[in-house]
Amino acid sequence: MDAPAIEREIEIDLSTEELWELISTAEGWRSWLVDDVDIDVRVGAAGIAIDDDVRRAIAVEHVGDSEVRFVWCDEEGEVSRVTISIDDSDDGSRLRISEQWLAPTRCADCPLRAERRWDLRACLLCLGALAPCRA
Amino acid sequence: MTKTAAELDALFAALSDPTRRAIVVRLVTEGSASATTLAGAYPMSRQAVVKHLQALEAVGIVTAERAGREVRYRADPAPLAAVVGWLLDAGASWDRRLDRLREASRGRSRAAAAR
Repeated sequence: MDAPAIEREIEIDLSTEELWELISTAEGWRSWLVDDVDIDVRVGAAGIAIDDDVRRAIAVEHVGDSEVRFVWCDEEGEVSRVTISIDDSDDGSRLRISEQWLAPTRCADCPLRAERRWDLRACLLCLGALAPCRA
Repeated sequence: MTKTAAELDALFAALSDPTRRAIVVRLVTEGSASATTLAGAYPMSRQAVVKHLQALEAVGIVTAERAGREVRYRADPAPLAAVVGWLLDAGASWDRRLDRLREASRGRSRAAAAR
């Protein structure tokens, strides 16, 4: 059994060029994806987002070919990979979302927690280095 | 969510085996059973069934109870409910985000039409 994943697909009455701006820029993200975020959406970028009163560390893995992919981690140590892709459809554009839970996660055992130095910046370091905490 | 990510990860690992999933379904639908009874339902030895049951017991999906001279196993749906809760929460979050995306796209369409 694969790790649990959420998938959605919707039609949007915008061209793929217009929709791309909404999924590949911080301004676009703030209009629908998260309440607030400070990040330059490019491969290797990392930042902190506020998502429904939950703080999340975000590390961008891929931007291009009509697809944006990032990993995010909340303060409980829940880590998941989000893939957002778009393509043309009859009525504008089709957008697909997939959020896949990553496993195993060891954030709860992060040694920085014991040293009281843990915060989401520590998660950013892990996510940016392809997650030694999840090794 | 009451369980940690690591616990839920172990839960899904335990359920990665189709025989274990079949055992859980049987215990949920038909009630508690002994390892001997379950072994009669699957093409495997009682020892093999016991190993599967122990793996399920370790993650809390199955509970062992002594009933006289035999040990009976019953399903405990609580850990599965935690996973379902995660999926429901995550799904609802995406539904809200996509509602906002639709609204943002309408705003852009209206702005483009006004130009």
